[in-house]
Amino acid sequence: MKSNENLQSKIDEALNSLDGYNRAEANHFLYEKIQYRLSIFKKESAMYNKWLVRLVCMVIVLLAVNIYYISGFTGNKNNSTKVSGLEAFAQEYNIETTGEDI
Amino acid sequence: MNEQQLLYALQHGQEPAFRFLVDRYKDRLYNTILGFIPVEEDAEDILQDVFVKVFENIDNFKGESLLSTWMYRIAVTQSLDAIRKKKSKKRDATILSWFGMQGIVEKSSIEFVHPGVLAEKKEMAIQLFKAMQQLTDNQKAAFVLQKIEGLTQQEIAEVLKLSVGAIESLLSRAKENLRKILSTYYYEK
Repeated sequence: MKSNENLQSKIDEALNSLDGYNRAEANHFLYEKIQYRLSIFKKESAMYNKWLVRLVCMVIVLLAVNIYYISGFTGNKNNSTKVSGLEAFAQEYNIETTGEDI
Repeated sequence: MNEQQLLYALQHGQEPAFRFLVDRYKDRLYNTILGFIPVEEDAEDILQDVFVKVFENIDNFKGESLLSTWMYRIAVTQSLDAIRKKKSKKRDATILSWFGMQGIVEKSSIEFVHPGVLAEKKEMAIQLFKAMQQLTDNQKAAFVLQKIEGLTQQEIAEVLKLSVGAIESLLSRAKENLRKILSTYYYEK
């Protein structure tokens, strides 16, 4: 019985051991450390933005080159159909054509 | 400077306001974090993370709760995240050790002595901190906020976004579990 009471009092003492404790103090240079961390974060995000801008520019250039070539290719195709259409017309009416005329 | 003025200054990027905020809350948040992470260097790292988070997200703070409530919430979340990361690192280290490799060994928190505890209560406090590590996340959070920070049940409810009834039940279960853990320890001793 006594040992049980002893056990309970020890548990109570442990549970109440934080009563009246004094607050621990944080590092005095905490603000400077936070500022340093924020400056690293800012640098990293600036670097990320730079890379993002470069990537977007590259994609735009690649797209522009592709669009230029694709439009050029379809443009040539239209020319050749135009030429073949003219040739067919010329053949039908027995007219001689040369590339220079077109 | 009242809370409204402080918030206005913070949201307008005024550096002295941020310094004021750090000075006002650093000790409170540090002690809260120590309740979760009983290793001083780790607790300080998390404290820095908390203020960085506050700085980054201050524009999104709508003032629906007190600034201190919001900051306690960030501190609790960051601390619980850090515990989860630590646990997963420990798991990885165990797995690596099976293959004869050495994982990163975390600093032990087993014999943590809170710097503010009175000398005659230190031994008891060590056992209490050990036992606290075995509580569930919510029980631990409620217990730390009440015992270490002395927040009321209403304030804890606001920090943890739970009802007062839920906090009451969390606290009673936390104390019940701590009694069980401590009784096992003292019985074996």
